[in-house]
Order: sequence, then structure tokens, then C-alpha cells
Amino acid sequence: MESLELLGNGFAVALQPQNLLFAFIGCVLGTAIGVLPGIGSAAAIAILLPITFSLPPTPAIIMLAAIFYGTNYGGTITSVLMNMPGEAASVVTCLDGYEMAKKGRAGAALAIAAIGSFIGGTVATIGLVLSAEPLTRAALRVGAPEYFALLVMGTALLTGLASKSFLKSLMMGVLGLLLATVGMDPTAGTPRFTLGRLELLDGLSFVPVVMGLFGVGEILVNLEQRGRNVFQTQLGSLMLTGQDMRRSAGPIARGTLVGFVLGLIPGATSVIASFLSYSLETKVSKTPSRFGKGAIEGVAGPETANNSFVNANFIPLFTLGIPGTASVAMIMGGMMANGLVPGPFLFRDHADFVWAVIASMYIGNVILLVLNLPLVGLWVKLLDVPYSILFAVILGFTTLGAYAVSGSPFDIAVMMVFGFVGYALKKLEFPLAPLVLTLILGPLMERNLRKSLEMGGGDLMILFDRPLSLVVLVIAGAVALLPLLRFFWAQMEVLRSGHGAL
Amino acid sequence: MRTVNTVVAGIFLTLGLAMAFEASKMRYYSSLGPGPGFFPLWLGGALAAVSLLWLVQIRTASADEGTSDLWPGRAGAIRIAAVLGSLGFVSLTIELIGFRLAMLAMLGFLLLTLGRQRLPVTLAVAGAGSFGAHFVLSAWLGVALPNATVGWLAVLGL
Repeated sequence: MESLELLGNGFAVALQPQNLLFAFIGCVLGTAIGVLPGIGSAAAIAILLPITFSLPPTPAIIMLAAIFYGTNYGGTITSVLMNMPGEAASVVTCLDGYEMAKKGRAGAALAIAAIGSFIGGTVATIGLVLSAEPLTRAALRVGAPEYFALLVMGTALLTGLASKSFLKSLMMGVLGLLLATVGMDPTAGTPRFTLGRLELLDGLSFVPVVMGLFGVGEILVNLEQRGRNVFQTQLGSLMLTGQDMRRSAGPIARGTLVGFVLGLIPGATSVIASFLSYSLETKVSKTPSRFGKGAIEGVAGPETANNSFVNANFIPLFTLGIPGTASVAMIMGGMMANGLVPGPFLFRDHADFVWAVIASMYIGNVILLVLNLPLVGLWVKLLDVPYSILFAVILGFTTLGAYAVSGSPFDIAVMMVFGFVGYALKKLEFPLAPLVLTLILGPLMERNLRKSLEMGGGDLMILFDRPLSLVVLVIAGAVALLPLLRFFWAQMEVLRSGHGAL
Repeated sequence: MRTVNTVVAGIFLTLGLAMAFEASKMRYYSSLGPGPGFFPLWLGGALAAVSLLWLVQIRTASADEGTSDLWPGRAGAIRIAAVLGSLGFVSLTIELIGFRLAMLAMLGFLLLTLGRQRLPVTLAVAGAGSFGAHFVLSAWLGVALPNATVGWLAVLGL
């Protein structure tokens, strides 16, 4: 009951004109960037982060959250109208959404996507309200060893799920942790890997690094392959028939559940949520042959799951301080830049802030519903801006953002270097999410590991002596070891069959 | 692709070993507990170990996996170099010639060469992204952006 009271206070803050305005701006910008093909939510947040620098913490994070779920809405529009997903989670929407568009039913596809997203997002936010209090209470009881174990599990889950190659994910995860050690050591203040540069004493600045990896890296990949083939379909009516509603009700309910559960697991992505929902719908359907030929269930389920996932993703961030995806890690970076440390103490020390952000999610979902149904034609117009102009504008924005972090040209150089690194890693099919996640979690992991070892007099067994820490580490170990065992097994098979080069 | 992956694995292996070596020069343990070298030493070793495993996987794989369009081609490489070069230019000059001129030069160059835009469009977009952005950010949002510090540019207040 206390949560409902606090949520009421949160609404009072979120409904203040300034906060409402920034939720609206975030939704508009997020949808606009989500519509543009090739720019995902992580890149969108990276590009738009500088806008929030001059804002107080509450409107800044309300805006970043709105950008995050706005991009997920926006990505649907190009998937349906052009068979071109604006971001990865919308890929599966192309299968039936575009087929509906070809039959003149793009409006119905977009309408059910908006309604499903609204329901999924709202239900997940209710889940956040209900789980916040018990999870926070539990989190406050955990000590450094348990917290370290939770961070290890989050990292293990993300590296296990982020890519088809576990080793590549693991390499990125470890690289992120190593990059996080650059700068002054948190206990003794000893400079580490600073290459003699004063700018690196505070460590690698998170914003220029992610702007480089995602924003500049994405532009380099797009610019390398010049030219786009765009085919536009007609929007048609937004009205849904009775049959559309009946067919969509089940997928929306199941999509909400799938998205919510996956949103709680660090490392799961909205792509997994939408694909799992689509696969579930094909399994439960009495007429699975309709899928891929314009079945409305194929749009309703995945789109709902996608948005439910996005909102549920805030639960591990707010209650445990563990970001589940690269985009949420960036929002965490935005919070830390404002002096707010996500985790159980956030609810205790900054209750006004956190409940206002949660309340703004309800409001954001309503704003997005309004923006996406009647104004969908307006978003499509954005696609008329040629990429040959857009790329320069985005680069200008990222350059400005990198500089604005600490007013240092060195950060622009950092962004440039990581832009090239991001481009190369994408070409080599390395997942970037584990790198970003561990880059932000690295200092927390190191601090908690060192604190644990101090508590245990230098004995690592302290991590295994405490029940919760042990259970969590066993789960993390299983997640990490299963792919490794599969790898060793595969290598043994290769050597046994004589194909090996060794 | 196998050769490229082998080289990349070698780079990661070397990076891991180099960082572990550097970390080994720092204090590993102190009276307060783990020292500054503790975490990076283990991480450097872990990166080297995982890279080595990947190297084994690459060399023992029966099929050559990965994309064939790895290299950008001459035109693609020039576009990438132009973007990176323009970012490098801004980082070197922003505190000398100021935000407005550095950004105007970068956007103008990118729009004219890579975007192949006509001069009026280039001037409009680059002007808005430099002088316009400076006005909005400085006057409205209070973000401090650098002015020119050299010669007559500084006198002009750019």
C-alpha cells in the first residue's frame, strides 16, 4: 500500500508542466529516431544524451526513459510500411506487418502495435510498482559478497545471451571490465593504464565511449554501404475490425507476460522477447499457416512483448542497480552523471525522483499512444530527409555531446577512437552490449569484490560461505560454464573426427 | 575470414597479456586488502585466456565462418577516413578556433564531400548546426562552449 501512496506522490511530480514537457519531448525524439532505419535505442540514447546535461535529474531521466521506449514504438513504423526495421526488436514485426501493409492494412497493423505496446508497457510498469518494495527490502539486506555475486550473474547472463558466439561475448565482457579499470584505483588512488594523460585519471568517460561505439560506429557502417532502396506502401485505415480485436486479445496477453518475465532477466534482449512471442503465437494458433502472410497476431504479440520488456527492464535497474541491456546501462550512466546511484538506496534516498520516473512511464505510454495513432503519417514524412544530410547532423550532435560531458576536446578524440573500434567490432560480429554493460558495472564489481575480500581477510571463500552469494554464483557459473563445456565438447569432436588444424 | 579472425584473436591475446604485465607492476595485495593490481591482473589474464580459446576455435573450425564483406573497399574506406578525420580535426581545433567555426568546417566538409549536397543546403545545415546550435545551447540552456582563442578570431568573439 505504501507503494501506491508513493506512486501518487510520483504522479504529482511527473505531472508538473516541466516534467510532462520533457516526457513529451523524449517520446517525440525517441519515436523520430526509432523511425530512422539503422539507429537502435542504444544509439538513440547515446546521441540524445547531451540534451539532458543541462537539466535537473528528474526531467533528465524522465526524458531518457521516454526516448528509450519511444524508439521501440518508432521502430515499428518502418517495419510495417517499408519492411525495414527501425531497430532490431522490430525485425519480427516485418514478417506479418509488412504483409498486412501490402494488403492495404498498414493502418490496422500500426494501430494494434500501438495498442499492444500501450497495454504491455502499462502492465509492466504496474509490475514495477508492485515488485519495487519487496525487491528493494531484500536488496538492502545483501552485503558486498552477495552484490558482487549478483553483478557476476548479470554479466554472465548477458554474455551468455548476447551473441551466437559465447567466446566473443565473453571477450567483450572482459574487455569492458578492463577498460573500467582505467583511471585512479578506487581504494589507494594509484593511476592505472592512464598513458600519462591527466584526462584519464578519472577513468574513461562513459558517454564518449558509448557515443563512439554506437553512434559513430553505426554511422560508419551505414556510410560504408552507400544507397538505400526504399519502397513505400499506403497507410490505409487505422480502424480495427471486431475480428482483429478478438484475434489480438490472446497474443497481447501472452506478449505482456513474455516481455515482462524476460525484462527481469539481465542479458535478455527485446529481440528475444519479440521472437519468443512470435514463436509462441505460431505454436498456439489453430491456423499457423496464416503467419507470415499478414496475420494480425504476428504483429500484436511481438510488439506487446517488446514494450512490456522495455518497461520491465527498469525493475533490476531501480531495485538492484543492475542494467539489463546496453540502453538501460546508458540510462544508468545518465543517472550516475546526475549523482544518482541506481540500486536499493535509490528508493530510500531519492524516493521522489524514482517514483516520479515510474509515474512518468504511465504518462509516457499514453503520450506514445496519442503520438502513434493519429500522427503516424507525420512520422513517415521523416523518412523523406535524406541520409546524406542526416548523418552529418547526427555526427554534429554526438561531437557536441562528447565535448559537453566535461568540456574537454580529449573526449571527442575518445569518441573518435571508439567509433572506429565500434565499427570494427560490428564488422567482426562482436556484440557491443556486454562491453558497455561491464564498462559501467566494472567499478561496482571491483569495489564489492575488494570489500568482500577485506571482510573475509583475503579469503575468496567468503563468496561461497554465504548462502545467497553461493546460489547466485552457482547460477552464474552454470550460465557461463554450459557454453564453455559445449565449446570443449565440440572441439573434442572436431579433433576426434580429424578435421582439426591443430 | 579465418586469417582475419586469427589476427584479431592475436591482438586481443596481446592486449590481455600486456595489461596483465602492466598490472603485475602494481601492488597486488596490501594490508587493506586487494591492491590496485589485483583486479586488472586477473582480468588481463582472463582476456588472454578467452582469446586463446577463441584462437583454438578458429583454427579447429571445419568451416570458415563469418561475413565476406569485411573490407570496406576503396570508396568506403575513404568515407570512413573522412568521418574520423573530421572528428579528429574538431578535437584538435575546437579550443583554438572555437566551437562555431570548428563545427561549421566539419559539417560543411561532410555535407559537401560525403553528402554531395549543394552549397545552399550545406550552408543552411552547417550554419544551423554550428552558429544556431551555439546560440541555442549557450543562450537558452547555459551550456559552456569554447570561443576562439587565436588572433583575430578571438577579437571577433567567435
